[in-house]
Amino acid sequence: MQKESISVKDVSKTHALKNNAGLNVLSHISLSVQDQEFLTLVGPSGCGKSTLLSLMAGLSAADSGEIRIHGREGRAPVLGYISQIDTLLPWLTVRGNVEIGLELRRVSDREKKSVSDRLIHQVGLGGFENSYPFELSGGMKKRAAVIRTLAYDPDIIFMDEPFVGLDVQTRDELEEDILKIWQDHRKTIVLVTHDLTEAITLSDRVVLLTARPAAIKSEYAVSLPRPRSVAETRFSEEFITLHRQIWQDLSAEVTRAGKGILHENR
Amino acid sequence: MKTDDPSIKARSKTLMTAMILSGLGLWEILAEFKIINPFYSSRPSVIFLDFYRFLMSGELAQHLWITLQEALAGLFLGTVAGVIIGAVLGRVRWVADIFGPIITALYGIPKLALAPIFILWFGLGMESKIFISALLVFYLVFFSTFEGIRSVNSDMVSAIRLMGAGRFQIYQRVILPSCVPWILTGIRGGIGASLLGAIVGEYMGAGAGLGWMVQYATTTYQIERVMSCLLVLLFMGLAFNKGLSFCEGRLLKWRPDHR
Ligand SMILES: Nc1ncnc2c1ncn2[C@@H]1O[C@H](COP(=O)(O)OP(=O)(O)OP(=O)(O)O)[C@@H](O)[C@H]1O
Ligand SMILES: [Mg+2]
Repeated sequence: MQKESISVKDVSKTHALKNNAGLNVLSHISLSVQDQEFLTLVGPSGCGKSTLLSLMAGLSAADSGEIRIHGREGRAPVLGYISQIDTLLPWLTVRGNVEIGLELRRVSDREKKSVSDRLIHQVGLGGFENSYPFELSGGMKKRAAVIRTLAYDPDIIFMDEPFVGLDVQTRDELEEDILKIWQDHRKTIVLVTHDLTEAITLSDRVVLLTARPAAIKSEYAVSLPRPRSVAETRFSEEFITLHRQIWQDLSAEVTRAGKGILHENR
Repeated sequence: MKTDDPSIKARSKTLMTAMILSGLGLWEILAEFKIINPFYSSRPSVIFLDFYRFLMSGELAQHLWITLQEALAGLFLGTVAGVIIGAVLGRVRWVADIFGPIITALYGIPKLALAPIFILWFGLGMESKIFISALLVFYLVFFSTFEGIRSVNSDMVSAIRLMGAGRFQIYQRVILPSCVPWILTGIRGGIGASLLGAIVGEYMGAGAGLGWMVQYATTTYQIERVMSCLLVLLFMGLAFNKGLSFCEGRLLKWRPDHR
């Protein structure tokens, strides 16, 4: 039986600008995310994807409409949020960063260590436990950010373009990690990306937003069988058809917006 | 420019020593031929002899100990007050709105000019010097802590909040650690200020301490003694800075520029 994890009802948001004007970013968005669903939001650059994600995570408040997490309004229980930018704590080592969520919960040292050891090795960061973030490559930082979130086992994870700026191979590896993680842990995940390949490979459903103010333009169910693998999925018939369709719809939206570039980096 | 290469380091050390020695030599020669008057500025040979006597008689240690206590106590108290008040004002809007302008306005008053009043309030002993010293340090540490708190990366704060951190934990885990470099910068300036406060306080009225010694020696025209005291102060400043660098090395391991 499907349970609803996140429900967004008729949400609008206007950002206040310096000159007292308002920038209408979200317009009457309604969206429902099922428990253990992997949902991806795509849309033209600057349309309001990050804004929508931060509303869902409770980082800022909507002007109107309501957002419920597990049926409740207000601050959500325990969330994971992997943002567009690097928010690893620079004064903690990789291990310290991975364990921080557990430390906030006063978990015993033994358990912390066993969790962090397992995750660090799972994503190939073994040997870098005691390195500081500045000593890591971009891809390694992203991995650390992902497992930092997994370590404290949140039910819902938001990811805002987590792999932007990484080379194709590293992205593939990280996507493989995410697929595996979803397979093992069955989280509810909401991902924002510009990369349609990534969107289709990872998710159960892709939601396309219109240009600003963002509204929901269309939805695409991805019924590729799981467990998936990044390499195989990409060449399947369904993938190609879906990719073409979303790409066309998104291009139309980008053209309509009259600006922005469609980041098709594959 | 990095001077990690040991041979370059050694060479610049040698060069520095050579420059200092030739400077002292030049001073000695100029004094010998009365081109500069040794009555006003003394000469290296006399200064070193005086320094030796000053040291051996135990007077140096006695005065140094007093000034050291004053400066260290001032540095400590000023830092603690600066960090606490800076942290509160940086974080709590309404407190900042009330006290911020007052603190800034008081900052405009030349604090050293008030030294005589502080001596009147706190007496001729160490307390008045500690107070002056702490006051000077306080402002430096306060402003840099305040600035540090204001520039905390808000994305890191939200990240940790979403992980379930409470107010106190956010403070402890994100805000304070990210202020450490700022606080250390404040303390680095505070080192000079703490010595200045202690010395000037001693000029104004005291019975002992290096500042008092400088004052006393000047009025009795013992310029070599004044110079000896300056030498001691120089080493004190160097030692303080070395101590701070050591702390920085331990606290700032996580910064790419601190290795
Ligand atoms: N705090 C803010 N104050 C004012 N305007 C904002 C704020 N945050 C975002 N905006 C504006 O709202 C619009 C949507 O921003 P948002 O970050 O949600 O877009 P996005 O879809 O995530 O874009 P991208 O794909 O480039 O990350 C942008 O035009 C941006 O300038
Ligand atoms: Mg964004």
